[in-house]
Amino acid sequence: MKIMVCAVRPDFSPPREWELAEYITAYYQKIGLEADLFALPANNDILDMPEQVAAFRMMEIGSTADIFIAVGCPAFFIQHPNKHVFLFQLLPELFEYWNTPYGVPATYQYTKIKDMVNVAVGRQLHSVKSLFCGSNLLKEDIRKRFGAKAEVFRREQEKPEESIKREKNRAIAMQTWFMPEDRIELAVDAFAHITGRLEMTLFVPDAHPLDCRATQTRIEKAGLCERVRMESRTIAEGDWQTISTLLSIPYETRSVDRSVKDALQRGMPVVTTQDSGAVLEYVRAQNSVAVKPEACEIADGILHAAQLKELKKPWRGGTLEKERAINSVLEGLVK
Amino acid sequence: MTPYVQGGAEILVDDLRIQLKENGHMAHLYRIPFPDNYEAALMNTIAATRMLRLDGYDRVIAFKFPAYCVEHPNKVMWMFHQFRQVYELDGTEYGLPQSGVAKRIKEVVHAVDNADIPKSRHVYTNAQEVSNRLMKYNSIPSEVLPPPLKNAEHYYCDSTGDYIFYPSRINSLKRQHLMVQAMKHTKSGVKLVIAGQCPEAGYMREMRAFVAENGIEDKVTIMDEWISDERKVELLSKSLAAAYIPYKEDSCGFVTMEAQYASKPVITCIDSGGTVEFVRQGVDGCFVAPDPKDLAAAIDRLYEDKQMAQRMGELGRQSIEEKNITWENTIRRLLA
Repeated sequence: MKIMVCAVRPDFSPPREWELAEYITAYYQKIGLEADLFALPANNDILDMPEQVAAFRMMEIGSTADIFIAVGCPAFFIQHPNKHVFLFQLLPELFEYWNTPYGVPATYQYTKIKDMVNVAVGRQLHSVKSLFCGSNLLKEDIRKRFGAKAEVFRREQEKPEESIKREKNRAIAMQTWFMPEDRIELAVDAFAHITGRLEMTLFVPDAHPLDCRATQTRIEKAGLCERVRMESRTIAEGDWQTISTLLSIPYETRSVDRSVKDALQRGMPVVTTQDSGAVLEYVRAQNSVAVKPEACEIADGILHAAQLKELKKPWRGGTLEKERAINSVLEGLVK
Repeated sequence: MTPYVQGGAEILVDDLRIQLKENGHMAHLYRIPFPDNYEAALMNTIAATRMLRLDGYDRVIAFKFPAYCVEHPNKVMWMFHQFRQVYELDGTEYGLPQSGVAKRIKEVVHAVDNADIPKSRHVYTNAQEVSNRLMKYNSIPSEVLPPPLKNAEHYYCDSTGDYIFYPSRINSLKRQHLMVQAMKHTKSGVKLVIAGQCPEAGYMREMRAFVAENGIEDKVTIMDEWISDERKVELLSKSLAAAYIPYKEDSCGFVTMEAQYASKPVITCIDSGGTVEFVRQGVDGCFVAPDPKDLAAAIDRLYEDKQMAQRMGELGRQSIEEKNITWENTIRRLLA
């Protein structure tokens, strides 16, 4: 059986689609199937979306693949009779971020593009053999907007050997790719409300140099140079020893950053906001704090999280809703 | 790129990506799928490629058709080969079947190449043969930029053994069947080892059938699989010589370079294309007519004079080191 996997790689964006595509390809190769992986370029500019949709719609992968797996948009526009799609998000600039600072404004031009994309996406989602979403929120979005059915999948996470013993003088951490919706400015402003010796580390892998510079300027202006530092990488295993609380405050995200699950698995509380979308699928009162999306509220939330008792039973995976483990999904596709 | 095929071009491009990163650049590798049913899909593939957006990049380096159709103000061509079926392979057994559709495809590809290639900031090719063809068929000047060999320092000479080694993707264009047929005519105790992936099931069947029908199983070993670099280096190090006899190959082929870094003479054919740029007749290798008996004679000569084979290998090593083909020089040219 031959499997072809395709994902897009928008520059300076979280690599979750690409990482999942690599994982899927490696999984099938490991079980002895012939799997090949293609990356195709795409950008996040909505004005370019019609052309990109057309380009992907016209891309031909030939007749050699028995199964085609598309990860992300617009990869799923590539045509194949046996297509399976994995999504972490679906053009949030046109939907959940529509007419907000994180998306595009409701101008005539963007409205027309949105109308076109609505029709095109709906057609594609109804033509696929199966559709998998990274969160229940996205699954519901797709059901309501397009009437298409999807299942939720869960990435396997390596379970840590033991919970980390939390200490009060450890730092707050936040992992971000500097996407506007990550609201890093809000995080810095919130931290400015906290006095004392508490520190914050911003993990910013693959960040654009200009974004780093802008954030550094903001930190300097807030007088936080001594207490806030940036690391140009993802949170590593050894970092968890120095972290007491994770901050994750994206706006209406449909895709949860890996660091949230990593923190919860290590018995570490997460501070999030009431409009953080899919992050709320993982929070419980006993392991996290969800506050209003305001700087002083977030600051209070951070201080409250510091008071939370040691989590007796760290999160061991799963949300309130039913999810399928990714390996089970992949196995099912080739049966 | 052709799906499920991992050849020299794919290895080189991936190595370039790694080298760019090691030199402080952020590099992403994109592969435009080239469908097997290209008669129907060609126009769509070209149009789709042209519409892909690469605005976020300072430089785009393109290698093969149709990937070099992408639009970018700072596109650099490092051409490995064009769509050969409509150029030098046209009218041969390796070209497109003669039909109205094929004629139209030829017209379209020529027009696209003439329009898109000159839009590049620089046009490099990986071999003189490719540059010659680009000038002959498209009147486009270019400069040769030979590709560095991945991990050249890993290659070494262990001993002068008793087998000819042919490590390459196995297909009709690479003509491993000629080497197999040659073994029927060899008079010495020389053996042949062929190693590589073979996407053409019929081709492999025919070769194995020939081996069985002529009772040369003890002389010929065919490893129909992708072998690791370590295994390849080891097999090469103990060989008598390497063989690389493709039909009108654009470049000298990594096999040629690998053999020279391993201090092994190279057996090639007079119509193999780019190997002439690296191999010198009677000095560090031999050029032979693409005929099994001629190949057999050349192989036997090397086997019967192993000292000569060893000297030729040493001269090949010296020659390739003098060429100084490094990633540092290559990247400087690509990013100029």
